[in-house]
This record gives sequence, C-alpha cells and structure tokens, in this order.
Amino acid sequence: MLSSILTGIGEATQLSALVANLVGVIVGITFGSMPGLTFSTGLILLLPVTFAFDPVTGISLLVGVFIGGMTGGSVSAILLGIPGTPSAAATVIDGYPLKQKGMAGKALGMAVIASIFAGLVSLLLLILVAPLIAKVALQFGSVEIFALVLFGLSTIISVSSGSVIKGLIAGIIGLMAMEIGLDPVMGVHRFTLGYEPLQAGIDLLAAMIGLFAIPQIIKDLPRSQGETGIKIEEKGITNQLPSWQEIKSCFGIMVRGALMGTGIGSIPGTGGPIAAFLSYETNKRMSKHPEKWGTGILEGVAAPEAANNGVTGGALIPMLTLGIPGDPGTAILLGALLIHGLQPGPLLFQNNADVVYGIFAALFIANILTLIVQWFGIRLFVKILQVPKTILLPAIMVLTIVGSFAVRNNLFDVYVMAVFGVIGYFLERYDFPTTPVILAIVLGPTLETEMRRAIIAEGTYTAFFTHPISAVFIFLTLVMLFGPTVKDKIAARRAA
Amino acid sequence: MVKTAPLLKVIVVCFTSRGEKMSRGREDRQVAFCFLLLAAIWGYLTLQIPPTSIPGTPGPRFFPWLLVTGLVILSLVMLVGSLRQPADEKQVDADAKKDIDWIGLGTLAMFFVYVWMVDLIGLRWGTLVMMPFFLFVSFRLRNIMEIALITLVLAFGVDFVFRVLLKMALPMGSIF
Repeated sequence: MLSSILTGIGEATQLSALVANLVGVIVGITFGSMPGLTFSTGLILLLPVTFAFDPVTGISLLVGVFIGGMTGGSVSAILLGIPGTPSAAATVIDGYPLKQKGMAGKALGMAVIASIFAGLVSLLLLILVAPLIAKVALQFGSVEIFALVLFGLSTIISVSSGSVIKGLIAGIIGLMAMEIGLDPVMGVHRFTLGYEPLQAGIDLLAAMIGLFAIPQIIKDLPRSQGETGIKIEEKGITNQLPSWQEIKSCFGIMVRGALMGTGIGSIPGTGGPIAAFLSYETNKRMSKHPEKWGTGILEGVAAPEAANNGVTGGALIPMLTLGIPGDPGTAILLGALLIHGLQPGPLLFQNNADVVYGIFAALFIANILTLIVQWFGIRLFVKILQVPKTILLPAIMVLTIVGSFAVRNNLFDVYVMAVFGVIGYFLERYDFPTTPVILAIVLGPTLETEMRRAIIAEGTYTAFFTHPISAVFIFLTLVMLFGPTVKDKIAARRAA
Repeated sequence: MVKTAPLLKVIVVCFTSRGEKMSRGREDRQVAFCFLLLAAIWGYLTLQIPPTSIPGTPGPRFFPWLLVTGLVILSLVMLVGSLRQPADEKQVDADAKKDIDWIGLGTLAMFFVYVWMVDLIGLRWGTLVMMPFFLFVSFRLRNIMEIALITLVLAFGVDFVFRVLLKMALPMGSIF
C-alpha cells in the first residue's frame, strides 16, 4: 500500500509528468475560457498525445485539462459575461457586474482561489472515500456489474436536457455502434458486412473525436464574411488578490460550495452546472444580505466557482471506483484509462494502485498549477480569448485526423472518425444530445458482456431482480427514468 | 397478453409531457421515420448473425434485438408525440422551417475529400492541398497571405510537433 502510494507520487512528480500536467492546465484554461470550445474537446484532442507517454504522465496531461478547463470557464464568464463552460454560467451573475464595476481582477482572483480551494477539498474527499467504495465494489459479480452499468447509462436522462426520447435514441445509436465487430462472448462476426477492418470494431477514441470535434467545428464556422475574434477592453484587467478580509468572509461559502460540488459530482449525470447553480442559490438564501447577490459581489463568484471545481473530485469517485462516468469529461478520462490498458473500477485499486495514487497526486499538482498559471497568465488568456476562431478551428480539424490515426496507426479509424462526425453533426442539427452516444459507447461493451455472462452463470433472467444489490440499482435506474416525470405529474396535479 | 397501444400511450404521455417542446413536429416525424428505417436495416442485419450454439442462453443476436426493439418503440413514441402537437404549433413549425446548412454540409463533404487526400498523399501534403479550400470556403478568409501562412504553419507545424518531437506516426500516403 505505502509502496504504491510512493510509486504513484513519484511517477506524478517526474519532470515529464509535471510538464505534461502544466501543458494540460494551459490547454484546459484556454479551451475552458473560450466560449463555444469546451474543455471536453481539449481532452479529446490531447488524448492521442498520451500514447507517447507512460499512463501516469498521459493521465497527468488529461487531468491538467480537466482541472484547468473547469477553472478556465470563469475567465470569459467574468470578462465577457459569456460562460466559457456550462459550469461557469452561474459565475456570470455576479462576475460580470464586478467587471463592469472595474473589479475584474479581484473577481478573477476570487474565482481562482475558490476553485482551487474546492478542488483540493474534493480531492481529499476522493482520496478518503474512493478506496472504501472500491472495497465494497470488489464483491460485485456479473449480475451487480450489469445493474450498475445500467444505472450508469440511465444518467442519459439527466444529460438529455432537451428531450428524454431523443437522449435515449442517441444512447441506442451509441450501443449499436459498439456492437459492430466480434461478439464478446461467442466470437462470431456481427454487422461487419464481410469487411475485414470492421472485425476489430469501432475504435472508441475515433468515435469520440468525430462526435465531439467535427460538430463543434461546423457549429463555430463563421456564418458571415469578416467575422473577427472577440474584442476585450484590457484596461484594468490585472491579477489582483482579494484581501484577507474578503477571503475570510467567503470562507464558509467556499466550504459549502466545495462540499456540495463533491456530493453532487459523485452522482453520475449531474455535473458542474447543477452544482454551481445550487451552491449559488443555497448560499444566497443563507446570506445576511441576499439582495446584494446579482449586483456584483465576491461571494457570488466564490459560491459557483467552489461548487463547479468541487465536482472534479466528486465525479472521479464513481468513475475510478465503479467505472461509471457521469459526464463527457469523465467519460473521456475513462476512455483514456481503457486505451492505456487500465480498467477503471474496483480492480484498478487492487491491480494498479500506483496508477490510482499517481492520478490523485496529478490532481493535486493540477490544482496548484492552475492557481499559478491562471494567476500569472491572466493577461495571456485575455489575448488568447481574442484569437479568431478562423485560426483555432482549422488547427482542430487537422488534430482530429492526427488523433484518430494515432490510436492504431490505421487510416480506417480516420474514416470512422469522419463518419461519426457526420452522425454527430446530424444529431446536433436535429437537437439530439451527443453525450448519451459517448456514454453508451464507453459503457456498452461492459453492459452486454456482463448481462450475458450473468444469464449464463445464473441460468435465469430473473437473477437481476433477486440479487439485492442488483435489485437496488435496477430500482434506482427506474427512479432515474420515471422519477422526474412522476414528480412533475404530482406537482401539476397539486397545482391544479 | 400485453396491449401495446395503451402502453405506448403511457410512454408517450410520460416522456413528451415533461415540458418538452415537440415544436418541430415535421422534422421530428421525418427523423422518426429515418430511425424506423434504421431499425429495420439493423433487424435485417441481426438476422444475418449466426444463432447461439448454447441453448437457453442469450446469444449474439440477443442484445441487437433488444436495441432494435428499443429503437422501434422510441421512434414510434417520437412519431406519435409529433402527431399530438397542437395545430397552432404546427403552423409556427411550418413557418420556421430551417434553411439548409450549405456551409456545414459543404464543409463535411470537403472533410471527406480531405481524409481521402490524407489517405492518398499523407497528412502534410493533404493539408497543403485542402486547407486553402477550407479557409476560403468554410472559414471565409479572403486574404491570400493569411490563407497561405495558416496552411503552411498547420501542414508543417503539426508534422514537426507530432512526428519529429513526439515521435508519433502520421499518415504518410498510400501512393508514396
């Protein structure tokens, strides 16, 4: 145990891992701060680069993007009044009025302090809680794993903001894609149409790159000639720490935000936006002067920023211990672990404890680096925000080809990426969410394999309802599926 | 025997009344038909999979059939939901018919040509050939110097960073 911890920390503090983490943080803040570009796209584009490194260095790079991206969303939220990420939407409420009052530097300072404080609190909770959950999850058999993955897939409901039906259809499309290739139990060909390259199945990364990056590029294409980058009045934007008194007055808010973020983040399918708005509302209600919230106060920046960064540690709890990603960011991190030959879940803690502790150490370093980079680089990020997308988007286009080719050095994967780009484009065009496709692609193979293994082992289809843990997860899945509808119906009936 | 029509009605009411706006009735109907067609094709392909060799256990066809069934039910729910749309919304719908996204579709088509070029002549030369078209048509750049500079930086910069610095393999082209 101790040797695993030391090995993990040693690997995460190697020069290559530190540099990778730093690069990740810079890319994360850049992608997070640019409205329209999500840090998930940054994660996807950097994923192939990790092939050149050992797992901990590679994961350090991605963890850097994850933490930097979550924090970077506040830059454009405060400076432009446009959230760089959905998680930073609540930061706009007080952050932008602060900028208009000429206190942009102070708002950015409070945002980064609250973010890093919460990031570290959630990391501490992750370190304490994750091994305990992993120990329990080790007792799971195929029946329980199937039910758990099914529950993980039910988070499609909460990530399908527009229409549940469309979200479920998108999930089925992802599951269909993952059926192509050899059957995982019997080894027979399925949906390969006699075409040899399809026997190896659809590559996870190629599909994710296509689904994320291509629709993003097309969505951001300039629709009129002469569209330029964003212009920001740079005067008065400097790094400025809030005073000790101001930090002290926000301390309780930061603690509450961090705990709420970690708790909400650990529930698959919730994520940063929910945590940030909930923290904002709760802290506003608990405030002695709620009427000032929304007019530009530092508390209104600290509350959502603490919560959305608290989510980072929380979201990794189900991802690392159970192999259940709750949002696109953790789904991509899960994919990265799989690509590096690591199977997230309880066995990861048993078989690759050094990697787990390496990830914990990388998360700590990423938080510290984010503080330093965002603090000293604020002027640079203001400049980056003004770079026209006509330069960034073509670069992303070339990177999609590099990334999808790098997985297996196979051009077939590049074509697969392009096809998934078309699928992603049409899904977005007709208001189908793409996140369910990603969740299904990541969880689909486990779902099918464990379901069939369980039925073969138990000899009955009813095993999923007779095993207590499985029954609980199936019940929770049904609650996820029908709960919001039933709640709405009851509320409507009461109102009538 | 389960009566499917009332069951379908329950599902439709359940999922389409959650404040969802089926405001694009016509589009939704077309999409639902496309998914029904996909389900039919997937069902046909599922029939081509050899059946299981272990009796009484789910074989390789089991999961695909589940998905086909799910897709058919959800598509029907979507279809019925779009038909249940109030008449006034349908009118709004017809008025707000979307324009064809020529730039988006054109960019997608060019992207396939780009991938094919990369397959043929490699990433560096493929980027050199195709990027000016993207920059001119999709990104609406008109400054020749800007187009040339971005193309050169991307073609050689990406090659240098990934192939030379990171020692990663890049597509070299099948004709070379």
